[in-house]
Amino acid sequence: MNDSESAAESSRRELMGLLSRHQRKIFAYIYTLVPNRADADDLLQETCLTIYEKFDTFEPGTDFVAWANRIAWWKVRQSRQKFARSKVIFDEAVMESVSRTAIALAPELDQRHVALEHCLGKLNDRDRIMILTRYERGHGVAEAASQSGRSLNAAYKALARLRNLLFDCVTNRLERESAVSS
Amino acid sequence: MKEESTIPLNDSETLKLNALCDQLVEGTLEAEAHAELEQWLERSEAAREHYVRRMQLSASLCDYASEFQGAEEGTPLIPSRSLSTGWTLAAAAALVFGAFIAVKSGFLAPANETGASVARVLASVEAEWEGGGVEPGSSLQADSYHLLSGTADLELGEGVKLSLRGPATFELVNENRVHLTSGKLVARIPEQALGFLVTTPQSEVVDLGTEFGLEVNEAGHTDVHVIDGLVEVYERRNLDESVVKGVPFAGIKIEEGQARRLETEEGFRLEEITFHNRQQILGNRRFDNLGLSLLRGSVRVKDRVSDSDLNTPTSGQARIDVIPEKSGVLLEEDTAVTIREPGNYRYFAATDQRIPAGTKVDSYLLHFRSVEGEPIRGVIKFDRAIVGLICEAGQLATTDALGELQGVNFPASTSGFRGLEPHTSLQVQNLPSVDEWGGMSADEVTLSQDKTTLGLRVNVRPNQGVDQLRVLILSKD
Repeated sequence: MNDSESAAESSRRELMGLLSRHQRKIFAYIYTLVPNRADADDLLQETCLTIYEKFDTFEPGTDFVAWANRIAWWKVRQSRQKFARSKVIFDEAVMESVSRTAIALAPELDQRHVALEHCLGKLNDRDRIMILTRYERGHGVAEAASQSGRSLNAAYKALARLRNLLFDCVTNRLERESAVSS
Repeated sequence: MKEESTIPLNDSETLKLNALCDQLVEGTLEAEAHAELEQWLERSEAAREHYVRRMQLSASLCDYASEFQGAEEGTPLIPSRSLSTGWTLAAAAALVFGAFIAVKSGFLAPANETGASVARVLASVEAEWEGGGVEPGSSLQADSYHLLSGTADLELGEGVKLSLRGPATFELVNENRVHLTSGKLVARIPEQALGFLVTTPQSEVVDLGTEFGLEVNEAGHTDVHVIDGLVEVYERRNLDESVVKGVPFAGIKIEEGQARRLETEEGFRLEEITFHNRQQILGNRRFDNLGLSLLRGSVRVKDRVSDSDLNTPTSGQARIDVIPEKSGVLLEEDTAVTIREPGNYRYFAATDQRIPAGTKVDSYLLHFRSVEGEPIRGVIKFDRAIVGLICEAGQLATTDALGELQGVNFPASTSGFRGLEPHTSLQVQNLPSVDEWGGMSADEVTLSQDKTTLGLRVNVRPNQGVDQLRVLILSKD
């Protein structure tokens, strides 16, 4: 193996490491702009491909997530047409504002992700399994309803309740943590 | 410039925003509410922050659900070639390999989140579906399907048309992706749908083209026949390696009129094979290209017809049977038809309109069945222009030679009327009230301005004649 090959190889390894650590954050950013799992997954895949292709332009030591999110932003913009019909997408100016807010909140969002694991652990089994069933790939409210033996309507309500519960739990936990640390 | 608000949300606003966010996530947000949410996000930084946190909750839940799903199914985190469905690979989403491979292969195969309809059945010929319930006009959700026998034409988003020949097992992944596990398929992909993917289980991946056929057999190979345009085929493992080695994805291009067999047993092999056209792939379907591009309502294409089919006007089911008759028939003499011009018709007497001799036509017989009192409705679009509609008894009888239905005795006009009603001025006068009509309204036929589309609304009275309509369209050649 010659030097350039091994350099390419180590660059590959570095990218794999960065992506496996941060892919979740890039997904959350995309999902905030295109809140549909299948569409967001597609966009994430396209984004990863471009990240892979353009990785030699990334400056080591700078913020990888911010760089990756810029690529994700362009992918979302490019596919606006495609998603326009699915009603999930906002006006471009609104998306830009939301994107700025999401980037500004990035450190907090990361803490929220960690806190959520703790909060999920506090739910009873039935509720936890139900809400995770809802968010499995390819699933929706219907699967969560049949899994938990609820009617569709009852499932919508239960999911709304659980999201509120988890949201508040996460918010409280973050507040307590910041109180402890200050 | 819109006024920007920095005022925090109050409790009732928070509740309202939560509800809107939930509806957005569940895909139930109505247009009006969408506009409301959008305006809110435009104006208020507090609303944007809350929205971002709320969406992050759902994104995080997707992430934890993948782990949950992986743990539940004991799925390894690293994709292996033995995993044939995107389903079990959910957990791999977190890994870069999964992400790369999925780009070209549909490996992760994200399903439609809402379970919404992804395809519609346009037509079927003698089709038997596992579990039943799939009829022309049916909407199909993202799911797996097993066509036991017969052929079926499906339409997906952006005008993609798939013809399948049973036995075939396939999964409609979403409106841009189909996974063919076994069986035969011909896909026709219009320009606006470029990027449509058909995947097969043996790690080969077939990327777009304009029209191509696939045969996936149990021995573990995929035959690709390119009928029109250019097709690129990828092998998954190849993609996998190319990611690691940093070389560009190399697809194999197959050109129009060529065919290749892909095998992955003992390494990936590509073999040149004899090209099959659409008809050869779809087997001995009597009518290769039905020439029907859209059916709405209860419409079924019926390949074989027996005496009892025609003589039993009602069998408890309301539908329109479309029976393809002879095609490419050169009319030797002027042929009388009931309707030639676009318009809406409610009176079906013989006229002296004629299709001139020398016209080459394809013929279809429409046979209406209905339970009493319920008119049957349907819309049928043909690929080529309709040159004449025949729905008057005498004219039907004189054109029965187009039927090629040996051994089938068409009902004679004496044993009840054959065609559409009303066909006499007396019937027209008496229409609204007379008992004989059972309070039914007139049959109704609409021929579109471009003469390709036929709208139908037909009453069928059991045991009182046979309601039929013959459609002659311009032949392809």
